[in-house]
Parts: sequence; C-alpha cells; structure tokens
Amino acid sequence: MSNVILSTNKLCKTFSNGGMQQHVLKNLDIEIYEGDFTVIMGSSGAGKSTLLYALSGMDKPTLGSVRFFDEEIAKQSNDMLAVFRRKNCGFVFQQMFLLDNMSILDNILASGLLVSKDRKSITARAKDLLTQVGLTEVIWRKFPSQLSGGEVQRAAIVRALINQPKVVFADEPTGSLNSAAGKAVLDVLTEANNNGQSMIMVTHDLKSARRGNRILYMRDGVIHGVCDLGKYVSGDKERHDKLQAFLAEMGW
Amino acid sequence: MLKWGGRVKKLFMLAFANIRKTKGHTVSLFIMFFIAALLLNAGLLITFNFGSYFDNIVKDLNTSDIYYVMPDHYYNDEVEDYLDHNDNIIEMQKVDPMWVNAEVVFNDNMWKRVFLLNDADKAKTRTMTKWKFVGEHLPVEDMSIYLPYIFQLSGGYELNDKFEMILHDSKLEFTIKGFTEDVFFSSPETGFMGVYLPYETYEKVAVQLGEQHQAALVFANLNTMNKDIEKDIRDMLKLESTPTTTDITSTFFSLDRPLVEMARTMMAVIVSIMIVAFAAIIVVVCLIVVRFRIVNSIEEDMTKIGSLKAIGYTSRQIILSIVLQFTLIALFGSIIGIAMSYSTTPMLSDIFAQQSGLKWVQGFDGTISGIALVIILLIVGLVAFISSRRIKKLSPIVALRGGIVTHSFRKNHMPLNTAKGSLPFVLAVKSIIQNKKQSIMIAIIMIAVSFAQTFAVGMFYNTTVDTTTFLETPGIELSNAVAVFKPEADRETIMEELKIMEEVRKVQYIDEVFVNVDGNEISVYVMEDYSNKETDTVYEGRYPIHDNEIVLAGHLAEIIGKKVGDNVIVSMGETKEEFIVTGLSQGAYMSGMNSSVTYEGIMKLTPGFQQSTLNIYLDKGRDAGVFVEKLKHLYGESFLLTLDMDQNMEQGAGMYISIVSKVGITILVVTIAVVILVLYFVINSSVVRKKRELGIQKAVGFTTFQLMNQLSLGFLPPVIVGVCIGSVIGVTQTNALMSIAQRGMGIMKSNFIITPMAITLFGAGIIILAYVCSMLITYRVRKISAYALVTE
Amino acid sequence: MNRKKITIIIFISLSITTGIAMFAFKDRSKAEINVVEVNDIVKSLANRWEDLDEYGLPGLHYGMDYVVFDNNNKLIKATRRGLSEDLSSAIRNRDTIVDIKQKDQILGKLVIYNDAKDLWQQYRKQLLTLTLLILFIVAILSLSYIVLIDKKIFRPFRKLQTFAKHVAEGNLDLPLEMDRGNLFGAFTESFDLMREELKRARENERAANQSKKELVASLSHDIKTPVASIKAVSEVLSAKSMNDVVRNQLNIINSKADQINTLITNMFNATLEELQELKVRVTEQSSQLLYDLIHKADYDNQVTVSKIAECIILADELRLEQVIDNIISNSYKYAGTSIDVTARITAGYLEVIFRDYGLGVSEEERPLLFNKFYRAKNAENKSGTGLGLYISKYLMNKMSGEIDCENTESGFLVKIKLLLA
Repeated sequence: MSNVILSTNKLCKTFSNGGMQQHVLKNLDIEIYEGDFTVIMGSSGAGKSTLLYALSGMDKPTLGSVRFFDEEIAKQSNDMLAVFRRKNCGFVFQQMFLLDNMSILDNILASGLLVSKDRKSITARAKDLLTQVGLTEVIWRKFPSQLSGGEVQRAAIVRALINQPKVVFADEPTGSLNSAAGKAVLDVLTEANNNGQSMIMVTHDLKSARRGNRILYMRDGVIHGVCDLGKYVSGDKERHDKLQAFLAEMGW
Repeated sequence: MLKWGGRVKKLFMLAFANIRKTKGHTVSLFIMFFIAALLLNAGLLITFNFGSYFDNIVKDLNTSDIYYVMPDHYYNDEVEDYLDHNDNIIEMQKVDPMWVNAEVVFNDNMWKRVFLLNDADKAKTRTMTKWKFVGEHLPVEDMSIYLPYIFQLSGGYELNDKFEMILHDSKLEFTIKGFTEDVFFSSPETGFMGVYLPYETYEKVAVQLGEQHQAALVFANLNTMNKDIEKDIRDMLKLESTPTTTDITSTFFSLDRPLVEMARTMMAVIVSIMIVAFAAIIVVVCLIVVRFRIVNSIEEDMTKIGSLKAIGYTSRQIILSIVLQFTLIALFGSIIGIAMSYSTTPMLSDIFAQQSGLKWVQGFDGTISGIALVIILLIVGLVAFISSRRIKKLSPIVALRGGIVTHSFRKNHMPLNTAKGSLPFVLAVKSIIQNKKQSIMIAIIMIAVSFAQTFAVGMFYNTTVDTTTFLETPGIELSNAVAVFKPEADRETIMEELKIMEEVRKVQYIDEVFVNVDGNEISVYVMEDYSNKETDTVYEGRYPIHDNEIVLAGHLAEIIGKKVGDNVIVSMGETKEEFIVTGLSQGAYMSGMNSSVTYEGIMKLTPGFQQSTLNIYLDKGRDAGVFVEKLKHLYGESFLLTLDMDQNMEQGAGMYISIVSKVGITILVVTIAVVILVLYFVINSSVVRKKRELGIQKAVGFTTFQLMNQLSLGFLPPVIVGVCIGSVIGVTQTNALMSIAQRGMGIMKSNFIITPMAITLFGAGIIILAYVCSMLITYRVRKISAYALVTE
Repeated sequence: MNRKKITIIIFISLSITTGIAMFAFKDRSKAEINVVEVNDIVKSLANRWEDLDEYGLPGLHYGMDYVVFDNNNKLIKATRRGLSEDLSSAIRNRDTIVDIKQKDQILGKLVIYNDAKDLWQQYRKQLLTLTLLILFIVAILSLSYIVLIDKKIFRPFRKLQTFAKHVAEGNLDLPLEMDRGNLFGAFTESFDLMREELKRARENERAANQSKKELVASLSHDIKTPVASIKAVSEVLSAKSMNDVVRNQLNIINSKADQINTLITNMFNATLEELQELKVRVTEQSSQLLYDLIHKADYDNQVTVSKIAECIILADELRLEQVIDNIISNSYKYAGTSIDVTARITAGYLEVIFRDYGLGVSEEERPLLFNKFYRAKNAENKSGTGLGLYISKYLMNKMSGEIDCENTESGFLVKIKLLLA
C-alpha cells in the first residue's frame, strides 16, 4: 500500500443559518493515498465539497484534525495555510475562478511565481504544460472571458499543476462543461494522474467518477462506502460494472 | 525582508491588472485625488508660503519695526536729540522724502492718496526698509517714475505709460519706468503710497513743490513695541492727539510693521482658511469615497480574492496589492493635482495682490508638496489597509462562495408579503436597509458637501446679490455721504436744512477722535445716541448710553485684557476718566483698534469738543454723487470736506467682494463636481454589485425604467437627509465659521445674510441633481440582460 | 467589533453626562452682579433724580432688586417690599452699595439686594435635579448593560441548559440553536452533533430490534411448514408400519412435532405481539412487476395470467410478493385447482383477481378469514397458523390497497386492489 498523504480524525464541520445548525461533516475518518485518483461521490448536500475544502486547508473544520503527511493543518493560521497551499495543493473548480483581469499565461504565472523565483524556467514550464493540455500560443495571450469553458478549465488545470503540488483538488471540474469539453478536461486529469499526480475529485457525474481508482461515497456527512477500482483503462467493462454495482449498493 | 523585494513585482502585477480592469472607477478616483491634492497643496502653499513669502520680503528688505513721518519742520533738534538717546530704539535711519496729497487715475477711477516721493538713487543706499524692482525696469528719461506694483496689477498701468498726479493746485506728469515693492508703502490698505523718482526728476519735483512738502521719515527698530515714542514726540511738539485737519501731510504719523503685515496679508489668510477648510472637506469626502470604493471592490472581487487565496497568496500579499492599487492611483492623481495647483497660484497671487500689492511668486516647493503628497498617500494607504484588513479573516472558501460565511444570521427586512406601498418603493426601502453602511456614507458625504455648498452660496449671495452685510464687515457706519463742518460753520441751521431735504432720510453726527485707552492710542467714535446707528457692530454687550460707558473693539479688548464690565482709563491730553466697558465691537477699520463713547462721554474728556462730521443717509435709489455735488454747491463754504461714501465703499470693498465671490463660485463648482463624482461611484458600484439581482428582476419582467427608478429612489433618502442636515449646519454655522476666519481682522461676529430660500433652492437643486445623475448613471441597467446572467 | 461598540457606548454616555453636568453648572453668572447693568441703573437714577416719582425706577427689566436711599440714608424707593430697610441692614445682608453721583456730587445710594440665599436655594435644587438625573442615567445604563449581558451571555446559556435537559430526558429532536456571537464556540457545535449522533444510534438500535423480531416471526412461520410435513410423513409412515416399535417411535416423532408446533406458535405469538408493525416502504412500481411476482409464487405452474394493463402502482415489492405468495399458496393448499389471474383498472385502483375452482369457504366463515389466527373449518388437517391472510390484509392496508374474497359459482376468488400512482 502506498503512503497516506491526507488523513482525517473525527473531522466535523458545522454551518448555521439563522441559528439553526447543520452538521455537514460528522466525525469523519478517512485516508487518502499517494498517487491515487480519489473520487468523492454522494448526493448533493452530502458534504463532498465541504470535505474537499477541509482537506485542502481552504476551510477550517469545526472539530477534528486533518493531517497532511505528518503535518496538522486544521489548526494553522490563514497565512500558514496559504503558504501550505501554494506549495502542496493545486485547485480546479467548477467555476474555474481564473483571474479575469489577467491573460491565461499571467494567470498561471501569478501562481507559479509564488513558489519559484526563476521566472524563465517557470514560464517555460507553464508553456510546456499549456501545450500539453492542448492550448496553443494564441490562447496564452487571451483573457479568460475570451475563451470557451473547456479551454479555461484546461488552463485552470495547468495553474493547478504549475507548482508540482502533492495533491490536486478538483471540485466538479466538468460540472459546467459540455460532454466533449468535459472529456478533454478529464483526459488531462487522468494523464496527470498517470504521471503520478495524486488527485482528489468531487463529482456526481458517473463519467467523471469512472476515471478514479478509489471511490468514496458520502451520505449525510459520513463515508458510506469505499470502492477500490484499480487504474482507469478506457473501455474496461468489468471495472465499469463494478463501479455501477457499488453505486447501486450505495443507493446512488 | 530581502525575500520581499522579489515578491513586490507580483503585487505590482496584481495591482496593475486590477487598475486596468476597473478603468471607470480608476479614472473617477483619479479625479477625486486630483481635486483633493490640488486643493490641499494650494491651501498649504498659501498657508505656509504666502505668509513666509511676505516675511522673507520683510527680511530681505530689512524692514524696520516702525516708521515715524512728520513735516520736515517738526523734526527739530529736540526731537532729534530725543530719538538719538532713546533707550528703546535699537537703530534708526532718517530719510527725507516729499509727501503730497494727490489724485491719480486708478483703474479708471479717481483715487485720492497720500504719496511719498522718494529719491530713488538716494533711497537705493538706504539700509533700513529697502525697496526693490518687480520685473524689469527701463532706463530713465525726463520725468521718470517707479510706481508700486499695485498700479500695474490693478491700476491699469504699464511700463512707459504716462502717470499724472493732480495736486491741490498743480499737476505732475511722469512716465512709468518700473514697478517697485517695499513693505510699508506699497499697498492701498496702509496709508501712504511710496513712489520712487530718479535723482534728476526728484530734484525737479522738489523745486516745483517747494519746502512745505518736505517730510522727515524715520525708520526705527524698537526693543519693545509701544506707542511711547510717538506720544513723547507729540508732547514735545505740543500736538493734539486728534488731527484737526484732514490733510495728513501736515501731521505726525506712525505705523508699525505688524499692523502693515496684518493689513497686507489678511485677505490671503482668510481666503487660505476658506480654501484649506474646503480642501479638508473635499479630502475627507475623497477618503470616505476611497474607503467605500475599497470595501466595495473587496466585495466585488470576493471570488478573485478567494482564488488568489486558493492558489496560495497570503492575506498580507492580497492586502498589499489592494493598498498598492489605491496608493498608485492616489500617487498619480496627487502628483498631477499638485502640479496643477502650481498653475493656480499665479491666479491666487493676482487675487491677493489686489489687497497686498505684493507680487507673490510661488516656485516649486518640494517640502510643502511632499507633505501634501505624503499626507494623501499615507491616509489612502491607511484607509486601504484598514478597510481591506477583513480579508485576513476571510477563509478562501468563504470568499469563493461570495461571502457566505459558516455562521450566518441574515434577516429578511420588510418581507414583500406584509410590506405596504408600491413595489419600487418597497424594493428601494429594502435596499436602503440592506445597504445601511452605504446609505450612512452617502448621508455623511452629502452633509459635508452641502455644508460646503451652503457656505459657498452664502458667500456668493453676500458678495454679489446683497452686499450690505459685507460692506458692514469693516465696521464702518454705512451712510451715503459724509460731510465735515469747518469749525466756524453754522451747524444748527445747516443741519436743520439738511434734515428737511427731500432725498435725505437721516442726518446725524458720527465723529472720530483719538484717545488713549490704557496706554493705547486709538480712535474713538462719538455719537449722541447710538440707537440711531444703522450698522450694528457690537457683538457682545451693548452700545454706550451713559457718559461713563465705552465700547471697545474686540481685538483691542483682547490685547489689553478687558472684558465687558471691566473699567478702563481713557485719557486725552491730561484729562483722565474711568469708563466701564459695556460692549465689544468688531470692525476691520484701523485693524480693529477703535472704540465708541457717547457725546457726553467725550465731553467729560474735552469739554470743548465740537461735533463736526455729518453722516447723511439718503432714501433708497438716490445717487450719492449727485447729492454731494449739490451739497458742495449749496454749502461749499461751510464744509471742510464732503465725501461720496457709496463710491468710496464700492472702491474699497470691490476687490474684497471680487475675491470672495470668486472663491465662492469655485467652491460651488467643485461641490457640484464632487456630488456628481460621488454619485457616480456609489451608483456605479451598486449597479455592478447588483448585476445578478437586476438581471433576475429584468428576467421576471421589470422594465429598465422601473429598475432605474427603484435604484435612484434607493439613493434619494440618504441624499435628502444628508443635504438637510448639511444645509441646516451650513445655515447655522456659516457665520460662526466666517467669524473664526475673520477674527484676525477684528470681526468677531459675522452677520452674513444666509437666505434659507436660496439654500433650500440649492439643496433642492442638489437633490434633483442627485436624482437626475442617478437616473443617468443607472441607465446602464438597460445593458444588463437575463442572458448575461446565463453566460456569466 | 464588540469592544468597539462598548467603547463607543461608553464614550457617548460619558459625553452626554458631561454635557448635562456642564449645562447644569454653566449659568453661574447669576451669582455675579452685572456691572454694566448697575451702571445703567445708577446713571439713569442720577439723570432722573429729581423726578423719580414721575418716571419710576429704571432698569427693572434687568431683574435686579434694589433700594434707593438719599444722602440721609432715608429710603426713597424700592423695587419691592422686604428688601433692606436701612444701610446697616443692607450691610448685614452683604448688599452691594453704590453711590449715585451727578457731576461729582453724591445724590444718594443705590443698594442692590443680595439674593444669595435665593441663589443658594436655587443651586441646591439644581444640584438635586442633576444628581437625580445622573442617577437615572446610571440606572438606565446599568439596566441596559444587564439586559445586554443577559442577551449575550445568559440567554444562550439558558438555551444550552434547556437543550441539555431535553437530551437528558431523551428528547433528541430539538436542535441546539447557535447564538449570534457563538459564545460557547465548538461546544455548541459538538453538543448538537452529539445529539444527532445519539439520535442516529438510537434509531439504528430500534431498527435492528425490529428486524430481529421480524426475522423471528417469519422464521417461526416458515418452520411450521416443514414440521407439518414431518408430522404428515410420520403419520403416513405410522399407518403403513407393521412394526409396533417403529409405530411407537413414529408416534413419538408425531407428538414431538406437535410439541414443536405448539412451541413455535407460542413463540410466534409472543414476537408478533411485540412486533407492532411490519415495515412497508411504498414506492412507485410498474404493474408489469406483478407477472414476476405471480410467476415466482407459482411453483406448481397452476396459474394462467391474462394481460395486466400497464400502469404505475404504489406498492412495496417485497410485501406485495408476500401477499401474492400467500394467496397462491392458500389456493394450492385448499383448492388445488388451476388459478386464473385477471386484472383491470377501476376507480384509481388496479384490481387483480385470483380465481380458483375449489370449494371455497362457507359464507358465514368468509368475513372471519382475515382475522388473526382464524382458520376455516376446511383447514383442519392442513398446516397453517391462521395468520397468512391477516398479515396480507395488514400489508395491503399499509400499501393503501385492499384485499377481499368472494365465493363464486365455480369456486373462490381473492381480489387485491393496488392504488395507482
């Protein structure tokens, strides 16, 4: 078994609206392994995204701990977390969240230059990655608003990968894309995972879920079931059936 | 710290990207900073430099503390000996100019002044109270003259022009070859006008005028400033304290430097106070707007901040980039504003020169401008820092979700199912409640702005529409004509005849003599019954009624440390009497060194006192000039002097009025500009912020006009509240403010007419302007479509 | 934020109090005599000295009380009665005495009444009012502070208390509301989370218990059939057997089987009592499901199903299966003929009719068939508990459906009605 990158212990997160509490995560204990493409599934409101953001240090849990290797991140200050994120985490969001006042390349460099001061090499790496995800030079100079959703999302993935993070967190990366663009984005993510990139993705889309090799199913703030699938191979019927059986059992 | 250097570049990148993105706001912020910096720098320049500029001139020209001037024949051995051996005199220098009472053309009017004719070549060697040329001067010809700079500035004279002096019985003609400046004799406000003649011309004129125009002028530096020397000399010469003739060239006269300085810089001080106060208001408004803008941009860019945080920017870096963004705008706006403010100084200089006769040349002042810049940058930086501090507490996920926090206690005010009233109205009220902070800010800005506006309207009204109060400001009784009886005239008869003249409304004596109050030589007004006075200048207490009562000028009372109810010793020659101070009066005349007693009161001091100065009040619409001519014609023999006061006042107050009205108009214009800018800001960002909401409302069927109305109505209540409060403050406090501003010139209580009508009108104007503006600005709502929502 | 507010409140209340105090003590001038006014009175008196009676006293509008004496210290006039009658009483009262002079000639004396006593009285009153006012303000301030503390601290605490009491009483449905300042921090959240977890655990426990009982009930029901078979077989064998020993043994088996039967019936009854209800989870189902269910129950291939109209019915598949199973096995047991199944849609229901060609039941027994543990007469010698139809009816009711039976000319029919979605 490979190393545990992220683990939680009795992780809880509570929201409240007008005083009414809502416990979105309840005493959650999970482990995420290095090199895995972990997929978190579950019905909406099950706490998938909340878990993702608690794991990535974007949000602070109410109770419990989150460990990144041996580092406790749940209690760190905002700025320490920011430094933690820039080194160890990459993010891909459903709404992309690229900075709309900068060109694509600048967007990536704004992230890359946070970690590396070697402007030349980071630019080279950015261009390399952009080419890899199929974005041509013409696009680099454009602003996010001038591109299609799929292109922007691929650029966002490049931004997530630029600092060679330990984990990439993806929150429904294909949620706002059509199926063709979604497939391209998923291909890019799979490719990165095949290159050894650990990945955690939240989705409620079966096509996306198929790409993962470990599925966590959440219900009512707890992990309802886990399914180990093995590496994704395109068109593997048996694997697909196993996943469907798992999801059926989970009542998806 | 070293690590920082490399990272600042990134922050610049972020800041510039932000500036590029929000061009509209950047430009309007830029304008705000421009205005603020311009006003601040101009105000600071005037406050610190105009005064010191004058001080420098005083120092450069080695101006003496005081000068004494008297007809040459007064200056006998006894006086010389006294002056030579006086302990109080540190050093002194005597010169021998000529003095004449002459009439000259000044700005198309006849101008009567006493001129000191100096020998320019001899005066050049003067070590005390030197003079200098302003601008270039030409080689001398026959009958050349150098005139004070004021003649060029507002007298309408240029080099090589002819200059005529009409004397009592002769005429002197010169060609102007240069303009000069000195401290004592360059301003129309301070007694004598000093002109300088080249040696040959001087000799010629001396021959023409003869002995009786020779004067002795003594400059002296004193240990302690007092009037002892003047008093002693008067005693030696057995001169009355009161000049019995109106011809000053036959009396002894002295003037000290502080008085001259005050007279010449007062206007600048007042205007500078007004400008600085106004600049302060505008700067404050700018800062409030900046704060608002920052808070808003944080809200608008919440998701951007979130994604920056997500990719690992620390709060400090983000805050720094915001601070940087606004300080950059402030920097450029301020630099240009400060640069522009230097182009306004010549204009201000011209305005001030009218009174001071001083050509104020303001070069670049690094210190002042640096201070202005640093002040603005510092405050902007601080404001930006403080208002962006809350980013620290924002967790990235909260930011990404647009500010939905873990624990929320939001309330729904005025639910539509129960609220009464028309829909746009209810929606407007809802948005006011939801945007409480913004509404408060608008109200505060409007208070400041409409206060400034009321002030400006007040100034403008009083200087151009109804100038009565303004003319009263100096504290002189406002009659239409003044006539002074010759000692031998038949006062009773003429008085009776005057009273029954059809155009005459009122005739009364108001005399002015010199007395000594607690050791200060001051002028005192004498009237039989002060209840007949038309100009009420007493701001505390009341006018004297009984023979042992006196009213002191507030400024004087302050100097000698007396207040209402105290006793003062008033002396005239050897007679001394105790008087009770019953009131304090204001007035710029004689720089606030005057007093008032009753006729009986003065009789106690000089039993032989005879009233001789008649103040004549005409019915409204009567021409004082015509009346004076008539007077001269009828009783020419009985009067020593007749004066058309209307014309006199107009000349005297004209420049004052023109200055203040210019300042008032400027304030008005800037105010309106600021109102528009502020509204642009608030409404624009509000529209941007509500884009989603508006799009949805459009989608469900609101028309553009309905939305515009709803938005505009939402801004109106705080505008109205602000304008009302501001106007009320303006109406009640303008006089208080002016009193403070004019305190230095002896005006303790300003009585400007603040017409509620005009203020209400302007207030309503601002409100309508606000509404129209907001309708215009919200017109961009039409561009927001439900489609944009889907695509965003 | 809170500290800011408190500072502002303190500042405002301080400035208000100071303002009131300043205002109250501002007007001290009354204690002093206004020199200008006195001068006016003196001078006016001097001017009209000769005709005082005619003009009356001057300066009355100043509100000063005074007495005028002539040079012989004789009272000439006074503003009111009760003032100093002569100079010595004036001195005693610390009155102000001023000479009335006209051109250096003293005409008389003006004695201004010293109303220090009144003033003192007035001051005391003022002081009292002020003290009361300040006390009032302090009271209001402390009251509002108490209210504030109550609102900010005690009310959340009381809420917590109520919550704890509810939990202790086992009422786990009332959530703990979060207070605005989240005074108790993670305590609030973990406490509420605990409540939820407790509730879930209890729910789980209840469900486990229920399913255990159901298991027992169904097991005991199921065991009866093989036991009946054992009994029947042993009876047959006993009848056939020639050997007494064997017959005897077979009788023992028979009696033991009876014993087992009794025991199981007892156990079943006991569980059934506890088993308050069988869980029915109604979902939307296709009517085509019926084919399947009938087919599963029909292990002797006796059933012919005519076409069932396609519609969506509300049913619990599992329970419906149980019902159909019961109907068909009953028919097997008591009729043993072929079964025709027809279905039709009537008034919001899908009606399914199972028709056999057996003897049916007597008409007087028919209404009793659905009673608990009722067994028809013809059921003698047949294994059964008398529960099948009872449970079927119960389940059908739970599915909002109905079950009914009828004797027909040709046999017997059972009719179930399933609610259409």
